[in-house]
Amino acid sequence: MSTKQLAIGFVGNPNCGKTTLFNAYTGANLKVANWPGVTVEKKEGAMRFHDETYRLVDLPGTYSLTSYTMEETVTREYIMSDDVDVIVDVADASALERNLYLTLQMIELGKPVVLALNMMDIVQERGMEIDFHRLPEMLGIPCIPVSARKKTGLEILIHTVAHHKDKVQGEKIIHHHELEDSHHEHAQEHHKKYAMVYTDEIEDKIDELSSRLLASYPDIQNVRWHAIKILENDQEVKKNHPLDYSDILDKDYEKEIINQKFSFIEEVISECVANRVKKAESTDHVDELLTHPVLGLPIFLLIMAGVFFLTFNVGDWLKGYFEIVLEWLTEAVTLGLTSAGAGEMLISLVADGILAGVGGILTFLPNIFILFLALAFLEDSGYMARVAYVMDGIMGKIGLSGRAFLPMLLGFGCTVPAVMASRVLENHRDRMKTILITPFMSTVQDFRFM
Amino acid sequence: MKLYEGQKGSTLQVVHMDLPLQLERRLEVLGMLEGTKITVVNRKKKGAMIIKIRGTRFAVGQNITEYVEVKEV
Ligand SMILES: Nc1nc2c(ncn2[C@@H]2O[C@H](COP(=O)(O)OP(=O)(O)OP(=O)(O)O)[C@@H](O)[C@H]2O)c(=O)[nH]1
Ligand SMILES: [Mg+2]
Repeated sequence: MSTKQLAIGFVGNPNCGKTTLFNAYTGANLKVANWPGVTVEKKEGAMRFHDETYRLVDLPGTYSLTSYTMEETVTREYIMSDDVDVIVDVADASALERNLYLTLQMIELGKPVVLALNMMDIVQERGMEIDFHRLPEMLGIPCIPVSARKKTGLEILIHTVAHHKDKVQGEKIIHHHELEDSHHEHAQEHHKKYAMVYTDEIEDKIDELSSRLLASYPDIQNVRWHAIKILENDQEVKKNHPLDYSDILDKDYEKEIINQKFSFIEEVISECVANRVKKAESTDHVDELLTHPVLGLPIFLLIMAGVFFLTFNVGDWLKGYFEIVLEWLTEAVTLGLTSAGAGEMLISLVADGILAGVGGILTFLPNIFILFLALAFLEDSGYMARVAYVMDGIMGKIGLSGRAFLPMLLGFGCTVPAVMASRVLENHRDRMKTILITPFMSTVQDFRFM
Repeated sequence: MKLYEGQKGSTLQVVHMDLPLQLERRLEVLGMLEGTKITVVNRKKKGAMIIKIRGTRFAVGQNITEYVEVKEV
């Protein structure tokens, strides 16, 4: 028996389904919603599989592992620490091109990585096809199709993770590059070892930096990653390895490195994904209406009016039945107690005190329940991100960007999610005021019902 | 021309971005680099837009669209 539990960290872009996957494995009930930035701090849980206990860690979503923002730095430090044995890189398979950028960075980290291609149900519905033979060949890591919502592929994923824990390089990497035009002495070898190989100019710099780092820090782990980070001018890595790099860093290489990664991603997508844009059209039309410059706001007000109508009318209707049941219960209890020979005081206490008191509070339940249901539906449909766009100008007048509207709207529903959401507000306050860049979720097929 | 001048439905290529470094890097990790083609899905009078970058739609504010130089393709 092993003494240490295997620790599995879930990392990925915002809104790709990490928490849904985490909940599916652990039976937990952490907050899931269809807008980015739902999870704001790391959460742990445990699961049993084949007589072993695994420790799972859900992390906030991030687009990259640079050290420009707090979440990125925190996520990076955490997954690099010994607290994580295997990284499960959760990717939204229906938006693979955007998700692979983080994947490439994770592979470069040099820890065991398994790619979980989530939202396969959407991929299938859209008629997209992903080549699961070629993809691991190009990336050098296992790639497992799953659907966290439909709970498919979960066993295979955890099985792969368990088997992959000691391997950094999982699959054999096979490139179809032309190597003749490369002068780099290690080119041949690099292409066998690393998924992401840069141009000769960059590779030469990586080599130079690597040998300089090794000279001063002989025990350094994954020197290639450190060299790439220094080439990207990463302040954290430079601070922890304070050497003079000025002769090697003769210009800004960061942009070039990002650029080359995206070129490689384009190559991967063109080889591994087919029928990419076939079905995007139908959601585009709904979107156009919802974010219409003139109609957007009235539509939003109409939807909100609908929510309140449901809450008060349907809720009150349910409340009527609720009260009938309560009355009947009170009668039955009074009758029961009387026939059992209980004193008048006791009967009055139970019927007029406890039942009436608790019942009075409970009669609000139907209203709250319906409001909650309606907001949960809106949250899951992805409409909230559109509201952020629609409300942007209006919110701007009070000094907030449209994005801050989400937590405020949730505040209508229930104080618990509002308090949870206001944490998002606090953490991101500065960013919220200065930028508005909100991804629209790909899971908008639910829109058709609205 | 600047991004905010782009018409709805047009496909544009990013020529240059003149944004605070941090913001620029943020866009870059989302795949919006110099040379990247983007589509204008929707736009508001004030300059806020919905654009499509590599298959994903993003809402971007005026404080971004005013500082991105694009050309038509
Ligand atoms: N169709 C479909 N939807 C999914 C799947 N997995 C997750 N979702 C939905 O995607 C949305 C985002 O899920 P979350 O689990 O909150 O995503 P996350 O990665 O934890 O997001 P952050 O915490 O913001 O980083 C929710 O609306 C989920 O219901 C899936 O396999 N298929
Ligand atoms: Mg989450």
